[in-house]
Amino acid sequence: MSPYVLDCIHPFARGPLPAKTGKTLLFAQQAGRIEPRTASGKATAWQSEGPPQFLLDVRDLRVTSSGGYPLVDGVSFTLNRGETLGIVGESGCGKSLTSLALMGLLPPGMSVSGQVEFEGADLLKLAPATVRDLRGDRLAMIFQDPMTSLNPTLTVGYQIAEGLIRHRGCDRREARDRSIELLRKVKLPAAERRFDEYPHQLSGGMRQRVMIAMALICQPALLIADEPTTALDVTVQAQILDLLAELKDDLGSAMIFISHDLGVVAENVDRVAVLYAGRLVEEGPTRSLFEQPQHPYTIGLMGSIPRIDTTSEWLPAIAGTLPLASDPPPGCRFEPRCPFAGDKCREESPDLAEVSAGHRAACWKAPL
Amino acid sequence: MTRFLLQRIGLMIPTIFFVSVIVFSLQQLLPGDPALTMAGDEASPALIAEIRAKYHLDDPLLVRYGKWVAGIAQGDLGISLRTQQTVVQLLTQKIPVTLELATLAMIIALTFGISMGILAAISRGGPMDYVARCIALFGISMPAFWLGILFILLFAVKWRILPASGYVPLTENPLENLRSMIMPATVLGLAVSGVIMRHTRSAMLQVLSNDYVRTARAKGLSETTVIFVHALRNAALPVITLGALEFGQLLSGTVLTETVFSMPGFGKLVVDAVFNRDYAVVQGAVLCTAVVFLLLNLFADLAYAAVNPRLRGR
Ligand SMILES: Nc1ncnc2c1ncn2[C@@H]1O[C@H](COP(=O)(O)OP(=O)(O)O)[C@@H](O)[C@H]1O
Ligand code: SF4
Ligand SMILES: [Mg+2]
Repeated sequence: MSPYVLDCIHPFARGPLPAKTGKTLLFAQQAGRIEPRTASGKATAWQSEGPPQFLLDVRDLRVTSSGGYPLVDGVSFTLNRGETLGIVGESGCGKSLTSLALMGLLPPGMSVSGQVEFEGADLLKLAPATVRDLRGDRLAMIFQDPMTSLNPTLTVGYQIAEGLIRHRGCDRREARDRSIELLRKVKLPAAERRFDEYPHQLSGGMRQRVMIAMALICQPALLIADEPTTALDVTVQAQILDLLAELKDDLGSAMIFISHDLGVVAENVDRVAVLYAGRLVEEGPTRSLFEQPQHPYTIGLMGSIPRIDTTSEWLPAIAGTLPLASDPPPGCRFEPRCPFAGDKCREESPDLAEVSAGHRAACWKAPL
Repeated sequence: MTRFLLQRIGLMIPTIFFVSVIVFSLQQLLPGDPALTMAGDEASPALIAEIRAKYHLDDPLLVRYGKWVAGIAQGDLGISLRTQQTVVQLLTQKIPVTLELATLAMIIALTFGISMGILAAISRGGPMDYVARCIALFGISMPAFWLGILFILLFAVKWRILPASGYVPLTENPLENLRSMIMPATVLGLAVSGVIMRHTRSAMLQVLSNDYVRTARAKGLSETTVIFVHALRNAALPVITLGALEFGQLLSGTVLTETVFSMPGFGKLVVDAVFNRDYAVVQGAVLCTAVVFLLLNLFADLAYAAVNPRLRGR
């Protein structure tokens, strides 16, 4: 197991902080400490030849709160078939809203704009009924909290089989057989018996396996996993991560894997997108991003990954908190917390720019 | 489940005992002398004494309680001081009327209350929500006897499509029975439907904000399936408890409506008995009400357990 999944803490949880913070230390953290491995080793769109045919092409996605504040602010990314994209950022930076916007499941009152092209059709322009046909079939989602995400009054089996009945027109008997088969695949012990049990009879880890089965029952082309292990015990986390990686490769599904923990992401994804205050601040192939992080925020996030060699010491987390969506800084969103901030940063917001092949960052100081 | 049931029934026994003690003692504290009431104002002391002896009114309290309980054990609730009928006879005459009335009212209340509650919740803040809440407020704040009088004026006097009052037993003529029941049942049901609508609405809104509803939507289910299969089951839980309580209220609170529509029901029986100091009838009726309440609670618990798997298998 890689060092950075040994212990999972919130990236910005504070341990004993070294006295010195700032530029020197931030740079010191880069020194080859993190060795990511690409999850599936597949070529990314940027490396393949010819015009890329994306499974998912998100352009300028904006989610606005009922009060008119930007919560997701112009996010663009693409995803190939079978590829895994990690989305990271601290809590509240807009990861869940981004995924809910893709699913068309935003809370009432929020509005969305931009383009979400999935298998050639813009999900934001399709009729609600058409999106419902795709949802749970071609694209599916796993939610963060398995304790609250399952209906307490329905058997877990019914909740899985439901998708097959809805999208495949299976009869109950066939839906049951196929659901039990999948429950075995997600390694739920005593799958046949569990099928008829209720969520409260299952542990958190088992419930998340059920959630995974529920999402994969129709073999979606895209699976969105929103912090699928955050609510689980550390020992269970690794099992669930392995299971997800295995199943998505089996089915050939692409995956958007969301986490606040850069360490978890490094293990499991082909590419990483870093969100900060509703904006995409850096995006690139996992290896490139971990070896040469270009945005100060990404570097800061890496600083909050626990070090295995100095167990008692934590590297500095990023000082300060997310800006309020209602009162964002006028220039770069990260400027109030950035050790590199200059005059230009205060006035003008940087756009994403390519720093190396397929690796983009939104920082005036990039490439570092 | 069987254990749960036995437990609940076991709990009912001491409760019924306490109710019987309280009913019996309160009765003794009521002002007025039943012997005097029966004998009339001009009665001679000898007649009064005779009545007291006949109904054992001079026995010590504990002895009278003992006799009462012993009687109950044999299905004997005593004799009405006024009509000389047995209390059991009186109750079996009157209870079916009230039971039918309350059941019809409850059916109206649940049908109307739950569907309006769901409609209001899913169109929260919209015109449908507003209309439903206005109707609920109207139902709750309109006194039943007043609405009853309006109904009679409209349907019986003006349009002459329903009988103004009276009661035809179900066994005699089901259609006439229904015609005589529909107005009082609607009057009673409307008031209750307001309460049920409000509770359904708030329970539904709470449930719809749950994560598992989002999960259901993420499966691509239609909004109808989300609401009726995923949300309503959970929203039904508080409504079941409320429904049982409201049904109990209906059974014991139909007096005014029964009076307005001249229904020979349970409510009227109790009120008459209290005014006439007809101890045996009051005691029997209250005890009967208590048992019905307990049974309703038991039924509500069973229904609750049927919907809520967390309570099953205990
Ligand atoms: N239902 C909601 N109503 C209003 N604001 C919300 C709602 N959900 C999230 N937000 C706001 O949107 C921002 C992004 O939230 P979210 O996407 O859940 O963050 P993350 O998943 O990255 O932790 C946060 O500032 C949060 O306060
Ligand atoms: S643009 Fe400026 S403030 Fe923003 S991250 Fe880069 S250096 Fe920091
Ligand atoms: Mg989140």
